[in-house]
Amino acid sequence: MAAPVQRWSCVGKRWVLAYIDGGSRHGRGAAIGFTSRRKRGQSSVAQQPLVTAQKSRKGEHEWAAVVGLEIHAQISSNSKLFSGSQVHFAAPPNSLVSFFDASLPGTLPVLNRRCVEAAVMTGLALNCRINKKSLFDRKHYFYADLPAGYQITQQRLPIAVNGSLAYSVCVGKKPSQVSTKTVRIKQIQLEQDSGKSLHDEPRSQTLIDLNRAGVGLLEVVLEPDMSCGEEAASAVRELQLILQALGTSQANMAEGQLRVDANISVHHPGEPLGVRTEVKNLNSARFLAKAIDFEIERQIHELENGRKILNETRSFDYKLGCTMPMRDKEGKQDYRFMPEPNLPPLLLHDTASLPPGADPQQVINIDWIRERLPELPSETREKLIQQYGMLPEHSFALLNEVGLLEFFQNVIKETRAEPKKVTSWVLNIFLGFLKQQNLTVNESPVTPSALAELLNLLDRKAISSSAAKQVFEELWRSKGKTPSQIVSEKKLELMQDQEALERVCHTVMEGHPQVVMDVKRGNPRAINKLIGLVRKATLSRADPTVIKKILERKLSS
Amino acid sequence: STALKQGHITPTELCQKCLSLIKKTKFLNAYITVPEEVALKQAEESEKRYKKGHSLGDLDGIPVAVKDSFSTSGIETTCASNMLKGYVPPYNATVVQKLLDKGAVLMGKTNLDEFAMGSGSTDGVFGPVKNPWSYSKQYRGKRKQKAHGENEDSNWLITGGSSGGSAAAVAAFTCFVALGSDTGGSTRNPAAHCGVVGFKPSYGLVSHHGLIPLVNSMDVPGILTRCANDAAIVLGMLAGHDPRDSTTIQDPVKPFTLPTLADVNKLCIGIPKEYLAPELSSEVRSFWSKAANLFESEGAKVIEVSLPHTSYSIICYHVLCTSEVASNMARFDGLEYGHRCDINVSTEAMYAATRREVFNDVVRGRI
Repeated sequence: MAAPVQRWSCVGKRWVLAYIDGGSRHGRGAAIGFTSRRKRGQSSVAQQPLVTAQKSRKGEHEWAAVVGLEIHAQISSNSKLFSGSQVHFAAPPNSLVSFFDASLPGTLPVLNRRCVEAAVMTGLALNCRINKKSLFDRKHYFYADLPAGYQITQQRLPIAVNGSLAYSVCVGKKPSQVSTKTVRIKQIQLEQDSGKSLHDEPRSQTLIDLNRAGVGLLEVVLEPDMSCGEEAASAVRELQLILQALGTSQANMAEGQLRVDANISVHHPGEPLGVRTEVKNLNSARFLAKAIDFEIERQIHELENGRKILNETRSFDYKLGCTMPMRDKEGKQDYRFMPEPNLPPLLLHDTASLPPGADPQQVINIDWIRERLPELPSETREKLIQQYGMLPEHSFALLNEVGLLEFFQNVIKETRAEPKKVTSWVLNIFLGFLKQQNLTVNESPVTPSALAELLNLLDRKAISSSAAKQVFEELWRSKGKTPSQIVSEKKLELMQDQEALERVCHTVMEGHPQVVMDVKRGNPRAINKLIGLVRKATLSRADPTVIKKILERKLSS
Repeated sequence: STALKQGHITPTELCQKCLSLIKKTKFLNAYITVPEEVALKQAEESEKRYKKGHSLGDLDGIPVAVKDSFSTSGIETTCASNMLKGYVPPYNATVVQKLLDKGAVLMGKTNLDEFAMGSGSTDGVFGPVKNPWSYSKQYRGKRKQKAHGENEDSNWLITGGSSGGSAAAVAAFTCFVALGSDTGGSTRNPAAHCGVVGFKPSYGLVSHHGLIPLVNSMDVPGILTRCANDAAIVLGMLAGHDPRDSTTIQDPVKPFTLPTLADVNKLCIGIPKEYLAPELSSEVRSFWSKAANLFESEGAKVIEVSLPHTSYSIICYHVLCTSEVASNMARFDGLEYGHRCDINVSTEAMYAATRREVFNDVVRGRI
């Protein structure tokens, strides 16, 4: 296995570019910065001096962590994978359940074409080989939210295999020091989601909601090519962007449309891989990174203290920030896999293998889908960099917020301002306002045209940049007003009237003879004070460079 | 159906006749549920159509029976198991719907082995089905000569199974067509026992949507009728692609017509040598060769053929059967429908007790 070996202790310095959660990334280094040379010597270890001595030497070695991921992405489709019931988040409980979803005896699965297409699209976008023949299997276990007693999945022959996903991680302290990494994709399989169990502890009841039962999932299995939480989180973030760009999943982690299980082990480089644990149901990228880093730290700690790692399933407690063994999943399950007899093999075609005269409604052409793949995030970022001379980290930031890129592009379309200026306004001021008020791009009170108009005013020097910020604040507050209206209402336009400005300069000079004297005595900073006073007198409506020119002329005369 | 078309009898009269026959032959235990009112209503509808001259075809007004493993909307469907006692499906199996769409009158749901596991129709919770021929004059006569003073209650023959109720219903003239299901002989075996036509269509020809499964990869709805022509007519109505069943073939089905068999000269009949198993009883073997001789004497060609995979069939059947049964029965957990026990210590305990309480030994053995 080509698991990259990385010094675990360097992780603290690493900074993820595809960032996870605004503001949380700073200072995290200190929290997870980990030294592998721990002090041991608790009583239990002291009883075994020999072993401890060996461990002690081992402890001097570097530890390498190996992380693999299983990601479940809910397919964005109108109906479920094998039934006609609708797919909606937060619908009234058990309102979207067909007879098949409730596993009434005699009902049969009928494969949803849209879900197959979504799997093919995702497979192609992730550089997978699409299997022209794939099979469905039953995976058995008894659980209240799995009404049939088995899940239909693709265990033997999945729809797509052998892909790769490129993602970027920041390696240095500067955001521009990006390193591109690749994680191999083992397979993508189609499977059914389960229902939801709601445990009512006080009444010791379990309530079942089958709305989610049978929704199509893409299980994406990432090979253990990652070595820390940040890498895993960036890979997941990139996958999320790809799924969203394809439209194959909304991939909203908070709504459970993207769920991640992580397999984690640690070992010494050059030695065989360690025993792995699985951390289940991670529903945010931040928790994913935290859980993985905690688990790596825990495993190293266990091993250095002479204990063993159990091959177990653990859950992450986000409140305590630690992982714990899961009670109900203890023990090896025998899933009794068997072929699903009610579904014939899933056959896909390419243009070469398409049977003549085939009904296009009955066949799926891989080539046809490939030709219609939308632009992927990596391509979009490359374009932004090429087209607008944008910094890589800015291209990441634009794609990281839903709708932000579209907003940016709409502003660019309508303004004469420099792309760099637009980037800076969108990423600093606009995004800053959104974050501050916890709004999405769609909820913004400022439209792209309004910002474009504002930037135009700025571009032709009709207003100063500080006035522009004032206008923006006003735009944010009062919907419906145009920037020009605000400018004229608040009299924010730059003074174009040279004579009037000269009069103001004159008045200021007369009012502050002491400062004028300072300038004349050769104090270079004194003129700035005069400029400031003039700007104040004009309510910031004058261009400082123009003021400076007038003042200089007047002072030298 | 000619009689119906010509008005010799009305669908309602026919329905009432069959209903009274069902009552008279109640001791056969062929039916589990007889929805009398529904049947009469369907017959009435059919009668209206005949009066208007809008008959839906050959099946309009014809009394049919359906094995109690096919889902019938609004009519209890038990699979002869306590697990599904009281379970009323909210939908019709495709084959049931097709029969009703053609105007057939549903007389009732017929008895079977629990979850169709068996070949005697003796292992259902509603008791065994008795073969109508047990009450024939010839058989009664034979019995009397052989053994006097035997308990009248044990004085009956089995129907074979698992679709024994359907076979008995047809044989007792309580309906003209019955649906059975056939996985490993469950239609053909009771048909043979009851002297009616039992037909297992090829897998994929007839939809099994709505048939409560035994072994999905072999289950096929079967047709039981009094004569081969009737079976062909019914097959023509049931066959074809069903969008609800992905295992049905997509190609359009050609209509079935049986050749008139005036001449068996052109027939070539194969006798698989592997079927001549040592376990075969001498009585059956002699009937078999008698039939072959009969064909031969009428000019048909009778040859020995070999089906070399025969010896694997039982093994394959058992592997598929036990594994698919274990899988298919997993849904009967007492949560969504069917029987649920009173134990509520934990979900697992509830599952275990529910299933222990209501599955019989055969079902549990196969799981």
